[in-house]
Amino acid sequence: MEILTLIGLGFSVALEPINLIFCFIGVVLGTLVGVLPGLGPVAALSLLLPLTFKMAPVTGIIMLAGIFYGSMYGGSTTSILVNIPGEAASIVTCLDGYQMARKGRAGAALGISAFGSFIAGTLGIVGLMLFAPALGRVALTFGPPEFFALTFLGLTLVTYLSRGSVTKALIMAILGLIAGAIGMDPVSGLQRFTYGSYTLMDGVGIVPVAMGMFGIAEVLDNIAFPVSTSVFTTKIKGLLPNLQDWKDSFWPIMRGSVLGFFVGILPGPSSTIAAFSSYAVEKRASRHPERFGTGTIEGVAGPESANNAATAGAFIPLLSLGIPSNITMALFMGALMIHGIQPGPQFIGKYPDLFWGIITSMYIGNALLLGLNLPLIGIWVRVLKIPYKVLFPLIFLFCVIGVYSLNNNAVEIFIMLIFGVLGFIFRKAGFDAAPFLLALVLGPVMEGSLRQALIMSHGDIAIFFVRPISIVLIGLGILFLITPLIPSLKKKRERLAETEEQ
Amino acid sequence: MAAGMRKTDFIAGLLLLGFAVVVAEESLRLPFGTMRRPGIAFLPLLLSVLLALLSVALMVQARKKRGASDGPGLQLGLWKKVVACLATLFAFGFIFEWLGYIISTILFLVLLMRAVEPVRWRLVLCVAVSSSLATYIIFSLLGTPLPKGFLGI
Repeated sequence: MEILTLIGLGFSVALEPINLIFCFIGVVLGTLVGVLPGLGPVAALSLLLPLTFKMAPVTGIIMLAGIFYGSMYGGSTTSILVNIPGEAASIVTCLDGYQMARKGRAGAALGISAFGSFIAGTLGIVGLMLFAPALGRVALTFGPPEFFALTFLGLTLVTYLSRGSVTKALIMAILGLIAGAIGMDPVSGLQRFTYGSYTLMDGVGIVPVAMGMFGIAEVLDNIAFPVSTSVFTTKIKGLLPNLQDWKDSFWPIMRGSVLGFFVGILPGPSSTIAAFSSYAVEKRASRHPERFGTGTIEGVAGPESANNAATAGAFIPLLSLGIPSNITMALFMGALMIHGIQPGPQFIGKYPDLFWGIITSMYIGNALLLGLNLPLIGIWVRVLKIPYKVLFPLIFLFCVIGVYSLNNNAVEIFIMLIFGVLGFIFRKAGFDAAPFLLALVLGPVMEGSLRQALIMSHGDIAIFFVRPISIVLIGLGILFLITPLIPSLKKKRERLAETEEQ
Repeated sequence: MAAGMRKTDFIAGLLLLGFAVVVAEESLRLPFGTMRRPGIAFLPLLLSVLLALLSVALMVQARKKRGASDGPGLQLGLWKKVVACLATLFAFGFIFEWLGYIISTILFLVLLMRAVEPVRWRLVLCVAVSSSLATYIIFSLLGTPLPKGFLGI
């Protein structure tokens, strides 16, 4: 019964008019950015993050969650209508979604993806309610060695699962850790690599880096390598899936939700992996696998549900351990910390209104999207037709004012621009920016726990290998680091990377 | 994509190795502490060693990929556009606190919309003026006013 009281508390927070309004604004803006070519959830979050700085923490985070969900929906819309995935997780949606659109069934595809996401989001949130507090209680017994082991595992997994060569991904993770070392050391108060800059004393912020590497770099890439798009211009009719569609989609949605949720808890680009595995599962489970890729509704329903459930799952490590499992969650962590809230094992107990408010607002956000997305599709199609030459200066402008309004500090604009240039170069040289950004956020946690653990053990490294939880986590991390060296496993990983690149 | 990266990878490895040396050298100036009480040089030094090892690995891998040619390069005209955008962005960062948000934003948007792929002048002016004013008002309402320049606007 206690859980019902807490859910009630959550709804009472989420349904406050101001929170409801910003949840609504968040999902609309998120969908808008998600629909824009080349800008996925990470860009949407970093672009719109500044809007939330001056709000109360609950309202700000609720709006961000809305932006995030909205941008995922936006991504699916472009996959179906123009065959351009707004983000990695909706690449799979292109396969059957675009084919459905070509057959004149764009409405049903968009409809089932909205309903599937809603159902999966709902189930995922129920899972989040059950698992996060439990994990949080376990995590209360964790000491520095366990936290070091957790960050180590998180980082190795993200590296392992990132695109392209493992060497390059590891290099990016190390560079991220080095960038994370810039600033004042909290233990000794000494400065490191700041070279007299006041801005750098607080360290390199996640917002300028994310905006640079995912906003500026993305736009530069689109300018340097333009892709022509043609919007699907047939009239969209019949948004509601028919009875047969529902029959075909019911089990894919259920399987996708459960699969997605558990994949989501694991570190890494979980929503992408969830979508891909769901597609594979549905193809295997289907009685007519040959129809996949020609516009079958199961191929849209399963992956779309899975990636939404994965999102709910991904909140678990962040809210109960304070460890973001992918870059989107790293941005959420950044946002919480801007509001002076440190996510971690104490989070749920300390801020019950915030925790339950965020969770229930996600539920409301999903419902809003369902009601919103279907009637607004006409507008999104029109947004898709805005020429890029008009759009990109505005995206640049938003990056600049966003970063500036963080602290009214022009130096941060230059930090963002430098990371934008670096991000563009890295991208062109085949280095994935995701491990860098995650390492930047995890770096300080990792270093702090490493040093505390060594102080605890009087300098004996064995402390990491005598405590059961830490040895298991570190062991898993090392396993992921060495598997690329084993040829047969290396091939499997490469196949995964290839499918991700289409 | 991966096959066409041979030369780029080698150069990247070389640059990263250089960077690792710089980080190591800079870390050595900081207090290292002891194993019992690690100081602030401990982690960066460890990282620079790892980075050096990985960059050497990258160069070795690049040498192994024989016969692979580099992927399609960037066309000169497009390079110019990228550089033009960056120059405009940096210039904006330098002047907007002095010149004031509204004026510098209009200039910024006009330059960008004409530089890469010229947009019709009427549309350029419409978009530039309206978005400059709209963002200014929104951010004032949000409680983070954008800078007024020496002219007071």
